[in-house]
Amino acid sequence: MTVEAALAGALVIIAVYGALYASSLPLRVAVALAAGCLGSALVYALPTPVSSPPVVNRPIEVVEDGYASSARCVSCHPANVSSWEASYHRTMTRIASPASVLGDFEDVRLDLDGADYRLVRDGDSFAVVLPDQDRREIVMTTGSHRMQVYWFEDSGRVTGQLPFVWLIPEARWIPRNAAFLRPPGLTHHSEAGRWNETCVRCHSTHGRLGGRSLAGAETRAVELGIACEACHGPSDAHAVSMRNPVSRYREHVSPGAPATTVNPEKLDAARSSQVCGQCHGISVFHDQQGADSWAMNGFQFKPGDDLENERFPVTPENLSRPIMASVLRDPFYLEDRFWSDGVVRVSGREYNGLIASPCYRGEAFSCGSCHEMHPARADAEWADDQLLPGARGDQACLGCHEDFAGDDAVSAHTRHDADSTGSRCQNCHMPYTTYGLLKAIRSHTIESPSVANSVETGRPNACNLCHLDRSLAWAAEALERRHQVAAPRGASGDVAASVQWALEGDAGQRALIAWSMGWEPARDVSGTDWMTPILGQLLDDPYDAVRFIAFESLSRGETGVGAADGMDYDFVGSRVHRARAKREVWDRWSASGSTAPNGAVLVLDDGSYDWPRFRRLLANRNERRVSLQE
Amino acid sequence: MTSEAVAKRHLRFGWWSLCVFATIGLALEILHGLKLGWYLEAAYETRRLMWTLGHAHGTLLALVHILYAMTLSSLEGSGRAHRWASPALIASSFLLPGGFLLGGVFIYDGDPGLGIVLVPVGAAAFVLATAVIAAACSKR
Repeated sequence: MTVEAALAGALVIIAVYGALYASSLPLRVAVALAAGCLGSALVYALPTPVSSPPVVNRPIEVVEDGYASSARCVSCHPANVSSWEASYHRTMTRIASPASVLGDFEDVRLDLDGADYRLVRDGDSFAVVLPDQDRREIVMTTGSHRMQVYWFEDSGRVTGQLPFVWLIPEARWIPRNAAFLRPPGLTHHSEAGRWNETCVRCHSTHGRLGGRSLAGAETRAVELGIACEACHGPSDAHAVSMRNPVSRYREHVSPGAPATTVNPEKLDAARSSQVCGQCHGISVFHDQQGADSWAMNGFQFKPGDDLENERFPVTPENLSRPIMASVLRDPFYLEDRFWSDGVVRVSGREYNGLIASPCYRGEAFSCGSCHEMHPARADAEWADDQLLPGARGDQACLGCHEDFAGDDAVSAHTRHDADSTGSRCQNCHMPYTTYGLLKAIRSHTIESPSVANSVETGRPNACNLCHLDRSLAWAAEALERRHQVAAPRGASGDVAASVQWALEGDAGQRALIAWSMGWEPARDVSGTDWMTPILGQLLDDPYDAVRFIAFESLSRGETGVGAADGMDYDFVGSRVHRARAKREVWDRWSASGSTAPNGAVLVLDDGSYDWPRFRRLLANRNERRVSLQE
Repeated sequence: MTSEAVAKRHLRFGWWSLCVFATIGLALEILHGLKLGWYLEAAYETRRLMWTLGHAHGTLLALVHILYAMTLSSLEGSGRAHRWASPALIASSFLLPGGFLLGGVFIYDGDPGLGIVLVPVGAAAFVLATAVIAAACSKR
């Protein structure tokens, strides 16, 4: 192609040159005609680019409704586009290709409750051979950080979900339900339409179902993935007006000029937070009309608008709204998302936590107080949580709470050494009580440690999440003595709260405690050897996710005198395998015999372990169904 | 001014200009070598482009001055042309690369700073100079 193009170009040059400089007019005409004809023939013979066939087996990208797409942002905003490209927002949903597919599709066989799935790759395309031997092309991926989910062609633009996910750091396949905190025994083979009806809302930019129902839905989005206009609003008019250099420089030199697109940083705290809250929140349409409008036209909310014109956040105060009656027909709706006092407990829904926080009521605190989307240096550490520099530490709080700056002030407030982890603002006020992505995540409902809340709701409190070897009564007494917080009734005193939650708690509590047992500050404060029997037990927990987290904590550093060292444990292995692993961990720990006595963690004064107490606690395990909708 | 004097002026200007822009090129290489963020990071792509363009235009224009000086001897009797071409060429040597270099000092994300307005003026001066010289060359 390149050679032919060069030849054609050379002939054109000869034609022009001949026409100008040949020795006589007839010769000029002859040379020009000959070279011109040859060049034209060559150009005619060049293969014309083959247009791709229209995509019919997945949702598509259509730039419409006043949107411009990120492709048009880059020429003026290269730095912002660059940081966006480094974020996991960009890669939330992608068309399946060798560049986007992270999982192993090299003729891999996977079993799901006896059903055989085969993953295959053919050049640049990927496919799954379903148990009925039907071969379906993998058309899209979701996620690129902790795990990746795959969508295969199903019917028209409706996609099915591969019942396995690829765990990225571990580089392995697991059943999809094992990646979430879901009750054992659930088996989903396809979940056709899940992306079209649910994921498209927030895992794309201006997506919509594209029909009143799934059948025949023309699902589309401006961009697959969360792109510029998800936060800045539709910007075609902005892009058009900014083509004019005079308009552009007028905006550069007079920043107060009316903006033609939305900058969330320049919105007030509430509106700015709503830009994030449109997706990172649990909300409900005011009425069915709103839901129908989304299905056909996408969300009416645009950055800068009041989100509550379209949807309201699910809060205790909003439960009495008429539309909630239909939402709450699902008896698990609230408990799958919230602690019993209305504090959100699932990741990705931080907006609900934010607006319930006292800081937010000051009307200056927003998501942007701690997070930034376009850092000067968009590296992997930033991409993890998209935090402002310093926001991982106390700086996030000291901007407003400047009274607590300085060692003496912080120590007087926390009653811990100024440099200890107990003096870090977030450890006390944003403890790890939210669950998602196979780990605990900081609660975004900023509150003070409360044993009363733990007693009432079962939500672990900050004191006992660090002092894992201490009881609720100990924490209550400490809070009363140091902070004048009245001790509640019902705070048990003889067993460490973590032991109670790990053995007696529900699956949500067990997951959080299993994670905390791997959390460095808690391990430093509480010691680790005594954790081994507990974590060993959790290796055989009914919930896949609890088992995964327990093994991670057990494998961390010196937990459990190396009880998991070199152990071949598979958290989705058979029950026999899991029971054997538990027994092996216990045996290794018993053989070490080095744990310091502490009755609260069931290690008796003579160094023996209080197995009878252990079994009694375990017998009381809260077996209620837990299915967290992260 | 005689053709000889004009030639000497452009020869001198060309070589000094080449020296200046070669030095700027060396400085840009050092910025690459030291991986300086305010030049190489994505946020400063516009600055990098502007300064690269300034360096490239300055260097090439320096060569044009030398070429022009060498051409003058074969353009006897084109005094009027020199009166236009020579100052236009010198002006473009300041305005074109200067505009790019200044445009890269203060940038507005994807847009260069206001110094960039010098570039089209310099480009026009260069086009004028080349047109005048080309016309002078075409005289039989």
